[in-house]
Amino acid sequence: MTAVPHAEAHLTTDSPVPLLTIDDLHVAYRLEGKLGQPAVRGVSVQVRPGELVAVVGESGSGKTTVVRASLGVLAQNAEVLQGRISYGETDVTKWGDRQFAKVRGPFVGFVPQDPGNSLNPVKRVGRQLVEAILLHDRKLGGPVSRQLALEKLRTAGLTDVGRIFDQFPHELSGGMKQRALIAIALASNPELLIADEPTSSLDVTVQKTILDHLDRLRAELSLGVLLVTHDLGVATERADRLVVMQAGRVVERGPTALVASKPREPYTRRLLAAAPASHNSRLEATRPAAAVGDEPAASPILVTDGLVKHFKLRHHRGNSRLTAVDDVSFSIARGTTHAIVGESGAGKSTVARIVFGFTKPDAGTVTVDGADLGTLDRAARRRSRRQVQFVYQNPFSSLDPRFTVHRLIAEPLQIHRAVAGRPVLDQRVSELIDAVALGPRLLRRRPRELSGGQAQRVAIARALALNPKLVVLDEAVSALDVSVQAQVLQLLVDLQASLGLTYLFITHDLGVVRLIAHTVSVMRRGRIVEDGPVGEIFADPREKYTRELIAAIPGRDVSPGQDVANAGVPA
Amino acid sequence: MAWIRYAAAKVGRALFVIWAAYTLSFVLLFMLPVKAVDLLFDPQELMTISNATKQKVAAEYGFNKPAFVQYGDRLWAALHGNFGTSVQSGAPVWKAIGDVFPPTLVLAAAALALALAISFGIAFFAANSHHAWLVNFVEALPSATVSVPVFLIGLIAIQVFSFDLHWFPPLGDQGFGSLVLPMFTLAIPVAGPISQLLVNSFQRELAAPYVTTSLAKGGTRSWVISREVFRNASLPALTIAGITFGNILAGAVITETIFSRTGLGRLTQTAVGTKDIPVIQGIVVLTAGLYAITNLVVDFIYPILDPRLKARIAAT
Repeated sequence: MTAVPHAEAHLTTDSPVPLLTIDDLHVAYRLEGKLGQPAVRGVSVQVRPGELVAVVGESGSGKTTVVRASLGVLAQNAEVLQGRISYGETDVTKWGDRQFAKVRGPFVGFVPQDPGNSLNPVKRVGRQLVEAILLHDRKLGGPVSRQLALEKLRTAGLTDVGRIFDQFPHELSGGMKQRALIAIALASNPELLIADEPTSSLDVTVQKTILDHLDRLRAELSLGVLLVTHDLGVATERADRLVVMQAGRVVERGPTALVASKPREPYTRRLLAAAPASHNSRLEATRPAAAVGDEPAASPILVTDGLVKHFKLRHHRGNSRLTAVDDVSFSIARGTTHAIVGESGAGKSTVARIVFGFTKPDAGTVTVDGADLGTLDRAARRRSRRQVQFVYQNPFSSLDPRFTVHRLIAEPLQIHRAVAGRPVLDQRVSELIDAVALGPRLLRRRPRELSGGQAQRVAIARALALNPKLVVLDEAVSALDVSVQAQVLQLLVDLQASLGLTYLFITHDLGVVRLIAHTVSVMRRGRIVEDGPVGEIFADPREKYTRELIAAIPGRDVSPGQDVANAGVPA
Repeated sequence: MAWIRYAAAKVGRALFVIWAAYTLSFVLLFMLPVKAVDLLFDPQELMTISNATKQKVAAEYGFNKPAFVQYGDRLWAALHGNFGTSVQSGAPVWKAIGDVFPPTLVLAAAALALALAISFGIAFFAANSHHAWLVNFVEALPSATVSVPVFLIGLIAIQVFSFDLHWFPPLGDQGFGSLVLPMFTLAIPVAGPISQLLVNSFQRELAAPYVTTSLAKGGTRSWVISREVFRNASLPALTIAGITFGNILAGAVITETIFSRTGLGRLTQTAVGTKDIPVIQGIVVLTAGLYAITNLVVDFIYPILDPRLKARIAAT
């Protein structure tokens, strides 16, 4: 039973033997000596050659435990309580480290979630790849393994492979690192590829090219792929079969077209509804609108005019100048949302920092509610800061971990001496926690005791504490699971209606823009390449770049209730 | 360009540390509640020396000049390697220190090597063992060794291994046998902070996503630990090289006294006891100098070992 699955045995696509069989798997974690509630309960998955199976679920659904179990790299404190994992026809459930090490590489390859931290930071990319080859074929010499490594980098879709071979991970972009990791996964010609959220930290256009490439590899090499993702849009667009997980169990499974068009479980329907691509108009507010005094169009709350910002870059060979923001102008009408969309490095966040007054522009003006920020003195700028508030991408790094939720929300009120006395402060804090739809019992908790969605709601409550006129949301929903993202977007739309707020919404994801924004500017390399009302941009994009961004939104073809025949099977 | 600036900043910092140590010890000398000239005589003979003699000696040493002139003169002399003469022996300070430095160096090097062996042993064991209680026990060791005073370890070692078992001589500095107990006595508290740091960084590195990548490409757990985790987890230990150095020197003072060994530690202890200020100042400056050089070496080695830091230096 300990024989290594033989490579040639399963190469044909019509082989009845699955590459990977997970059968009724139960896994629990031991904490301080005690076995906790199982994180995975009775999960069964099969992957056949040439097939892409997607396991879909939110964070905490146990999907990463399934991945680690099927690679034999479960944490030291994890225990398989029940069930079986087989590679081909070989039961590997009881295998030890050494046995697994022999087939990791030649039989199963792994593409990890976070390309930024998944390469050893102190080793050159080439060496890490050569190691992956030599671990399984010691007889290969240096020059041969180098040639092979360069070829793998090319297979993974990289050009300029000679340079990348000699570079350190920190010298590569996220997309390049992920391709290098794919090259490592393919180093010993595996038959099965396990990919754990391989693109969730990448820009949408990079995500699309990486997923396209995996599709191509699957077809060319007849790879079986197990794709794990929280994004049902990605899953429905790419997978042959879907396995939907919730709280450690499989709640629904079946061919993608069937699950996407006729979901049986309410949970699957919720996930489908949450995918940004399933909406083609702005979310409706579920709270009554506030009376807005002014005529919206007449007095824009924010006007930027001709913003320019350069950064000096120092290299080992001389200095150069990076134009991060180049002649950026836009305005936001009172009570509306303006989105700035673009990929990383487009200059979006620099614009946000200039609007907030953190960064001084080299040229151009920012006018907030009629006052030019550049001409204000310190005290006036401090007062104007109350009118503009910020919500960041990662609530766990923007909320002080030692503070309680109460103190986090109360802090801006105390700093600006906005309320007099403890009872008024408490009253205001409970109003705010109520406004973001969280219960008052959360007030005594600290950030680490909150879920990602709850923590981001707290960050929003804190931003609203001083009754700002403008809220800058910098990738505020990008780190959240798709279903939580939908809830937070709904909350933002509701708050806008009831409080008459104005949003500047910074994002790399054009999919969410449609759900929340009225107007949008598409930024690329510091410049606005296209702008206008959201509906017009989506219906009739003029620029090629905008069209690329729209095409990269995952799961565009899928919406609940569609016919099985048209539902999203990859082209 | 960036590298020259980096090197200049680090060398400048090292020089500043040495200068500051010299200046501080000079200021303290003048703030002592005794006349500077009195310190030049053996305390036991002080009462028998006439005022005229004292004045003559004071003039000879420049003690009647204003403080900042004296400071300038002495700093100038110190820059030429002249720290004055020992009050006790009458020998030049550099010679008094130079005579006892080699045995201390041997003891310190032996203790450091042992401390590193202990620390890495503990860290590897904690990273590899499957028995949770054993790991917990081993992880508790570093804090235990930090909190046990050096003299206690020394006294217990002498009682057990010299008096009860007769394995090693209790005193003296003749031969390797006499080095064993002092080496252990000194190494145990020095190993404390190093192993604490190593255990933590081994754990952190083992949880890093790149470890999963390396396992998934076919490395066994021991391959990943020895080829990937070991180097990355060891890097932070370099950052406390200066603290380690200080621990060794502080420990040497006590260890050498307990085991009656000749060395810098003993010299320090005697010099403090007899208020031999020139020797004390010499030792302070030497210590500061070695500390500064240790950190300087680390500053230059680190970028070679961690390419990310190299990139950051090049970008500043």
